Amino acid sequence: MSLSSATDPVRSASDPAAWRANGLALLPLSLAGLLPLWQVALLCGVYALGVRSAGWAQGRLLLGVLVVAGGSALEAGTVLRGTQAEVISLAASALLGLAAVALLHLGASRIESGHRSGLVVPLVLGLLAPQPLLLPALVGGALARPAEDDRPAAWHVAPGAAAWRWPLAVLVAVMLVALLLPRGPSVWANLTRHPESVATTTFTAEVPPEPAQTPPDRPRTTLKTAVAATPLRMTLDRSTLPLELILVAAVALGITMLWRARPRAGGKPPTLVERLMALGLVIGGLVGLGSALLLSLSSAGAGGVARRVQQGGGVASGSPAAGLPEAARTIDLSVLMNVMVALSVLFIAGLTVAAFLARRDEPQEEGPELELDHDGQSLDPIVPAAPLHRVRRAWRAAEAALEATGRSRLPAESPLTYAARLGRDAPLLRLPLAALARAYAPVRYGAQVSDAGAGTAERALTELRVIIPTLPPPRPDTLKGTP
Amino acid sequence: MTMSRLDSPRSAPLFAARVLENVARVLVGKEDVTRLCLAGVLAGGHLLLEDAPGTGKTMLARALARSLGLDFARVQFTPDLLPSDVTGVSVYRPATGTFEFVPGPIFTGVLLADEINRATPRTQSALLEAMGEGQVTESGVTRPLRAPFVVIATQNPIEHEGTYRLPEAQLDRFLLRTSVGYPTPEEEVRMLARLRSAHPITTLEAVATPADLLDAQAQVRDVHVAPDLQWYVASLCARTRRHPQVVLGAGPRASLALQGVAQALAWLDGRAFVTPDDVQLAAPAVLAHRLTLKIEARLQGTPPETVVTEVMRSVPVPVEDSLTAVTPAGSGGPAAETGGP
Repeated sequence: MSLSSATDPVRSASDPAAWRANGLALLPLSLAGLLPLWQVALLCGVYALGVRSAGWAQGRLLLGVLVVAGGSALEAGTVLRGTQAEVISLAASALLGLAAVALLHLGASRIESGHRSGLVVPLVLGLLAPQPLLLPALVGGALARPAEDDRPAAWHVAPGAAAWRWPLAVLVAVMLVALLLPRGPSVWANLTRHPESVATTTFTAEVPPEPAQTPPDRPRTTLKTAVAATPLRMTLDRSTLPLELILVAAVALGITMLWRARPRAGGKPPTLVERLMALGLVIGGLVGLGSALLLSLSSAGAGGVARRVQQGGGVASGSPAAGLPEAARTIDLSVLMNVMVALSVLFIAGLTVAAFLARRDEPQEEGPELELDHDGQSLDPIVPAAPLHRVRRAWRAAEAALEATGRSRLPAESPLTYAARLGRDAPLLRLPLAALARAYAPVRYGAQVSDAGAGTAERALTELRVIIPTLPPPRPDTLKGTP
Repeated sequence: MTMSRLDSPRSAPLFAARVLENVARVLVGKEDVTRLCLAGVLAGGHLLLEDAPGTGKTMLARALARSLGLDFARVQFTPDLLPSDVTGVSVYRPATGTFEFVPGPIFTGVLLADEINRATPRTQSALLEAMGEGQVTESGVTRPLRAPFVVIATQNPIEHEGTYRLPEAQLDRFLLRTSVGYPTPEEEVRMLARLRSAHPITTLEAVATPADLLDAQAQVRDVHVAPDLQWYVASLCARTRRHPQVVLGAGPRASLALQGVAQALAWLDGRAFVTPDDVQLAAPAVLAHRLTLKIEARLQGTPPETVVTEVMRSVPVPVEDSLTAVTPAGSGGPAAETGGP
C-alpha cells in the first residue's frame, strides 16, 4: 500500500500562490501546549499530506483522532499500573485532546473555505495553554486561507465593516455577563487537577459547626447552585440509565458502519488512508468510551467528592453544596434524563439495525469495468479527471438524456437558447430546463464553486428524467435552432 | 430623485431601470436599443446610430446624455465643417500678444455628431484621436478630454447624395452601431399621445451623475469573462476574417469591443459574469459595421449583419466538452477549463 500518487489536480496547478496552502501544516502547532510534541508533529504531518492530496485531507479528522487516541492508548499500559490519579488525568487529557483535534479540523476546514473565522479555533485552543508555537500556527493558518477569487463576483464581495457590528456587540455582551458571574476554578483546572490534591483541599477545609444537620439523603449530584439566598437545586439522583449507554451504542454503530463499508470480494481494496481512518475511528471510540467511563466511575468528579466528604462526616467549603441552606425547591430531572438516554440509545440502535439491513439487501457490487486493448493494457487515463461540479454533472446528464430522444443542442446554441427552444417545442420541459440552465450559467461561466443552485439543478434533472420518456418524438422543424 | 453609489452588480438593474425609464419617457418602445446603447456607454465606447430620418436617433442621444447627467454638445456635420470647428482653435490675442486656445464642442461629456457622414473625411478624422485616446492635439499641444466622454454619431444610410462614407479606421473606433427602427403602430399612438402638448425632452432630468457612470464603468470592467468565452469571442472575430464574402474582417479591437459590450450587458442584468448569450446579443451591433464586404456581396445586397449571423452559427458555444471545437488546433488553449469546478 502506497501513498496516493495522484495529487490533487486542482492544487497541483502551476499557481504561484500554491505554496501558501502549506501553511495549514503549521496549524496543529497551536495544540503544542495541550498534546505531547510527538503527537503535534504527527498532526502536522497529517495536515501537510492533506494539503498535497485530497484523500489525506478527507481523512484528516480521523487520522488526528488516531494520533491522539493512539497516544493515550500507548500511555495507558504504564498509567494503569500507577495511581488512580494518573489514570484519571490521562482519561481527561484523552477526551480533551480528542475534542481539540475535532475542533482544529473544523477550523482548518473553515480556513480552507476561505473564512477568516477558522483562525478563531486554533487561537482559542492555543490560549487554553499558551505557548510560543501558537504564533506560527496562526501565521500558517492565515497564509493557508485561499485568496479571494480574482473574479469580483457579488457573492465573493468581502463583508464591510458593518458586518462585524453584531458579532462585536454579542462578544461585548457575553464578556459583560461573564464578568457578572461568580468566579470559580476554571473547567480546565477542574478536569486536569490531581484528585489527591482535591481531596486534600477538601478535607483541610473548614468544617461547619453542625455537620449532623446535613440530611443523610442529600442528592449526590448537584448540577447548578444558585448564588441567591434560596437556591434552586436540580438533581439527577434517581437516574437509572447511565449516560455512557449512549457512548456504547455509538461505538456499536461505528463498528457496524465499518462492517458495512468493508469491501466486497472482488471490490476495490481500501487505501492506506481509509484503513488508517477506520483504525482511528475504532481506537478513538474505544479510548473515548474508556475515558468517559473512567471519569464517571472515579471518585474525582463532583459527585465523588461530595460522597467522600459525606463519608468523612463533613462538608467541604469548596464543594458545590458547601455553605448553602437547604434548597427551597428541588427539581428532579432524573425522569427526563432517563427518557432522553433511552430515546438516544433506541435511535442509535435503530440506525445500527438499519445499517445491517441495508448491507444485507445491497446488491452485489461489481468491479469497475475496464476496457483493455489488445495488449491487455488499461485504456483508462492515468490521471483521474477533475471532479465536476454537481450542477455541471446535472447539465451533462440532462443534455445526454435529451440527446437520446433526438433533441440535441446545436453547437452554436447557448444553454439558455437551447432551453428556450426546447421549451417552445415541449412546454413540459420549459420550467425544469430553464431552471437547470439558469443554475448552470454561474457554474460554467462564472467560475462559481459553491453549491448554490446545485439542489435546484438536481431537482430539475429528476423532473426532466420523469418528463422526457413521456415526450413524443421531436418535430423536424424544432431541430433548427438559431443562436 | 435618488442617486446612490453603485456598490455591486446587484445594483445594476436599479441603475439601468432608472436610466431606461427616463429615456423611455422620450423614446417610446425602444428599450432594447436604449439598453444596447447604455451598454456601449458603460463599456466606455462611442455609438453610431444609423437609421432613416425621423426615427429618434438624435432624441435617443439627447435623452441618454441628460439621463446620465452629462454635458451635451451637438455638432451638425456639414461639408464645410472644419476640424477646428470640432476640436477648437488657437486665437491670437493682440492685447497680450499670445495665442489663446478656444476649446471646441468636443470638450464635453456627450458629443452628438449629427449626420456625421455629411462632413469631409478630413473633419471626420478630427475625431479619431479624441475617440481613440480621449485627447485632442492642437498646435502641437495635447489636451486631455474630460471623462466620461462619449461620441454619439448619427447617419442616414439611405441618402448618399453629398455624403462621405466613414473610413474604416473611423468606423472601427465606434464600439457599436445600431439602428433605432420604426415604432409599431401601437407605440406610435402612444408617442402621439405623450408628445401632444409638449416634448418631454425639455423637462427630462438627470437620474445619474458622471461619477455614477465612472463607477459603473469600473464595475463593468471587473465583470468576469471565462477563458473559454474569450476563446469564443476571439473565434467569432477570427471567423469573420475567413468568411468568403468578407474582404476585411473584425480586428483585435473588435474582440475587445465585443468582450466589453458583453460585460456591460451582463452587468446590466445584475450578473458578475458573462454568458454566451451576452456575446451573441452584442455581436451583430459590435461586428457588423467593422466588416468590409466583397463587391459581389454588396451588389447582392447582403447586409453585414447576415454575415455575422452566419459566423455565429458556425462557431460552437463553449458548453460541456465543446472546448476542443472552439480552441484552434495546436494553440494550446485553456485545457484547464475542461475540468472546471
